[in-house]
Amino acid sequence: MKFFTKFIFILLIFSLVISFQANYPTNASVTAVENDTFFVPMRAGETNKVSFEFKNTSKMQSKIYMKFIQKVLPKDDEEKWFAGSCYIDLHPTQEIDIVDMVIRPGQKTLIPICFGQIKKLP
Amino acid sequence: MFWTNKEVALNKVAKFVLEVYLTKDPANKAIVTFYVVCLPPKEILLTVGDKEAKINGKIAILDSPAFISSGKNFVPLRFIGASFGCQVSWDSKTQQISLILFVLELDFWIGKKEMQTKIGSNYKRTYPIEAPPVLKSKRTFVPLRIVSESFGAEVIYDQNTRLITIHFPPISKYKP
Repeated sequence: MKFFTKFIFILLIFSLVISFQANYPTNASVTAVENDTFFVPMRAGETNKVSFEFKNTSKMQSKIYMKFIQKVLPKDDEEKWFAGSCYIDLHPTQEIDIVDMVIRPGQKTLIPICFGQIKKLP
Repeated sequence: MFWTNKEVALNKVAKFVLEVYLTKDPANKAIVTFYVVCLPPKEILLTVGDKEAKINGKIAILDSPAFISSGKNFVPLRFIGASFGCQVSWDSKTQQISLILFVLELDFWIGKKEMQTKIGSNYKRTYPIEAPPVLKSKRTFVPLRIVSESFGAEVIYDQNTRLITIHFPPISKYKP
């Protein structure tokens, strides 16, 4: 009976460890990419480019994906803004959510993002 | 699509949050936040040792002229605060100087070789600085370049004429 209780206890601990590992990466390098925040003052009528660094801290070569997950725009002003990738000399007239580039393990790359305010003319 | 310098919304902050990750390893990701604000451009001209400055061509008089110490340009705090249009606060107890522009806050301390940058509610970083703010003749002077560039401005210094030119916001070098 004592042995059975011990066995159940060890099994419980083991399953808890497994479920924890499933949710949280145990290898620190997996989440070593830094989050960042920028203040971007911009001239009226001009495009502004801000670059941030992204490092592949995993052990595999991969494509980079990016998407806007939050936009808080001034009221009555939504249509005037754009933000998007300005990679490989693309003119960002619309928001783009993919950086179609491959990054090697350990490689750092600068990802430029463009911001602007535009007005559609008839 | 046409570009225009009219009818854009000035002085309103837009916030964009971007998620970047690897397609083969989604856990390998970064969250990057941008606070973007469109501002009327300013050109600030001042000369070391001269009380007269120009902001967009208009003459402004400084309480005390800019000076150079250890190779760094120092300017009166009130002047640089008014030039950038930011709020300035001074805590005499802690000798802390704060400059606030929209969501960006720069904190300095008299004689302390570090500064703190806060953006929005979640971002706070401390950086070492070579030239801390100083008190001189009961006036507070701050290092011009570190303050200006922390706001995102462009600073050009002509050693021959001792003329300092600040473009804020910086002139965009990106031409789509």
